[in-house]
Amino acid sequence: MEVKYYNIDKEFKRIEKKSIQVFKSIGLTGNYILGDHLNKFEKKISQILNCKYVVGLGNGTDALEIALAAENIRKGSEIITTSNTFISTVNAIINYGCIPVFVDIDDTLNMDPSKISQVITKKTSAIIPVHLNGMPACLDKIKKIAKIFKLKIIEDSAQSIMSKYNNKFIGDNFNLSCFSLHPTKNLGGIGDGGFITTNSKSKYKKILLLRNHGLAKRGEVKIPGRNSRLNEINASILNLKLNFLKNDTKRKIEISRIYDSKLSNKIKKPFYGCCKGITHTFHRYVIRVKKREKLLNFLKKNKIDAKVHYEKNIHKQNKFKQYLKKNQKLEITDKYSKEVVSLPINQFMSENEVLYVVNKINYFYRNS
Amino acid sequence: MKNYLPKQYKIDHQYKIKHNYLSEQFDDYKKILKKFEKVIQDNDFTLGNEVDIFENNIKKLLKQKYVVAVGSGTDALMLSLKCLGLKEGDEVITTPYTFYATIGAIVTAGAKPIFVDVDEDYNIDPKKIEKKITKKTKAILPVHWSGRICKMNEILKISKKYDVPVVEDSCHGILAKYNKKFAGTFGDFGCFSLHPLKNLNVWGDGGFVVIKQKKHFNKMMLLRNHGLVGRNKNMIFGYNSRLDTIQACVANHLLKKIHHLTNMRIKNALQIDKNLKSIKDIITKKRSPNLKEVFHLYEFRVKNFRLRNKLIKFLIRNKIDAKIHYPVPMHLQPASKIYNYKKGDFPKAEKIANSTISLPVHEFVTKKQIKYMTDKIKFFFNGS
Repeated sequence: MEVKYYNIDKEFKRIEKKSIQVFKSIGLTGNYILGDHLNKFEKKISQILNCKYVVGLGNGTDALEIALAAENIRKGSEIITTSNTFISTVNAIINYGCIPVFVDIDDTLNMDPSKISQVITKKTSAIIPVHLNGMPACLDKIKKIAKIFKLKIIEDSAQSIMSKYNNKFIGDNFNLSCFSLHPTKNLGGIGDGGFITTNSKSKYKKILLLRNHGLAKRGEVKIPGRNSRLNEINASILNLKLNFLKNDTKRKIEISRIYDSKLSNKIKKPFYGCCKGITHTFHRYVIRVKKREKLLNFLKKNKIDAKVHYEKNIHKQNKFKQYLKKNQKLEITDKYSKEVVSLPINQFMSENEVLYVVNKINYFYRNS
Repeated sequence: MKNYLPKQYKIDHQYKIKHNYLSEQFDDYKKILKKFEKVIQDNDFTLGNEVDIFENNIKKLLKQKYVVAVGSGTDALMLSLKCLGLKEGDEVITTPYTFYATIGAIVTAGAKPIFVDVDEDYNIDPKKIEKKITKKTKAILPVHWSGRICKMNEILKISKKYDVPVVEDSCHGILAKYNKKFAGTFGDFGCFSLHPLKNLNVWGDGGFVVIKQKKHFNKMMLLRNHGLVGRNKNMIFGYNSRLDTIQACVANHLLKKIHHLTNMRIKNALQIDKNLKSIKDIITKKRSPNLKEVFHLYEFRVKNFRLRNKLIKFLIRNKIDAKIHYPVPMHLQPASKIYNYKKGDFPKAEKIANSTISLPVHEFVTKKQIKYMTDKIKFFFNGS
């Protein structure tokens, strides 16, 4: 048996006929940018996530950069985030002109709120919690700290569409919440894409300008903007895929339950934290193990495509080392980075496939 | 505010002679759909095989060594400036007569735009550049407006004298030539847009950069993809600006026709030139044998600028999609307020903005339509 990590081509097969029709209709109007399909997508997302405003953008990285600009974050100030994230979280901070400051993680693999105040200085302006793997960060505690120190919160929700915190969807609040629509995401387009959600009208209006050259209408530039738009072809494909999002997410959660209950207790399974009303949507199912390299080889031999997110955390990358504070150590981040393994999880996996993965892993640890 | 473009497209479609020709272009979409299918089968959505093919096609077309496909023309400019290591407070010399993206890219890169007035050809006036050069000047950014190359010899001389690199905004200028040299191949960087309404386009946003030096090329390859080498090694702080693979499929398909559609634009423009020649109330651009203009836009000016808006309205009434590219130069935009420019600072740019009109000139405009347009203009002025 071969167990694939992704099954993206199957996602497209479900919408093949319809996507050709929609695609034709776009081509015949010739309207490829900022059109009706994008409006529809934004509306649908706002309904699904129960948030007021949604703006489709070029990609998730741009979403973060644009959010920083929309929040008018002071250039040169410090922004707190985690190191076990995709590089674009930190790149966005640097590209915008700020300094990233790292904080350690806890067993949820997300920012450890109890360690945030240690790294706050006079220069701190914002916190970017990452909802890693589909698991929401502990927003209530982060909000409390942000309030005390008057910091902005921008959420990196790239991996967490449909995840819930306090029984509310991630993205349903007054922060700017930045999502990615990269093809491998739980909701993925046919190329790069992203969006921001918020309940704040003023921030929403600013983001509309920022994504389209600062143009309020043809001929009038209100603020210096950039070009970051979710194109019509991509939006139309996403609209079709949206019909499957709820069930796909449900299926991923079902698979996670099988993993949770069947995997040997010698393995650290995902920890769902102490916050209330959490829904983890499993962009990745991440376990922590001993003898990781051996396990990975073993799985590979058995044609199971497991991955590591991320092989090298950001503060270990050459160019980014400088951002560690003096004598700062990210003990948990470092420790866990040597232990994490992402198991295959996607909506097309059969029960047999899941059990095959479980059996192989359990077998490996029984005999070692 | 929301998206004003859908409305704009609906308005555009009421015209008989349109700027937007994309529905005609869509005629042979089936071949492209086949390519899309392959991209999906191969899960090859970002930085895929077709993107490599596209970059190689452009290398051959423009006879250049280094080409990098990126997310948009705006990003092409912004990333080129970032390649040069621009920092907060650096200055970039450019023209106030351009699309907003030129300035947005400079500001996003962290620099300050320094404007220099244009000449009769709508392009930056090289004679006025030198005065604006300071220690902070980190780049000169000429815009080859409407597909007509700037006076590059003069600009390159200044660039050499002060050791300031040149980033060409060639977004309008694919295949344009000056002294037999292609737009985008004069400076250190040549930035191109593949926006749907460009001479060479995709069906969404896209762009590419032509690069002179290897070190810049290496940096650009990193900048467009998070600074990543492989999956896990970060060399520099990067961005996410990639031409989608499906868009590269479209570009590769349309590239086969690029010479044809360029020649059609030139043919149409020269025909309009000829037809408008006898009208004394307007000024057409002087053509030069050294220049191969590719006419992303066909522009002329109305001598009495009070008549400009009347003429536009008259043409629109006659279902001709006449436009102004663009009515307000950059230094007078609300976004430029922080730089404290005022009316009169760049008189030529302002004069052109007050008097210019663009006519549809793309490959689908027929000879009959050209005659119809120019006859209407003649009628407006001469009443016969």
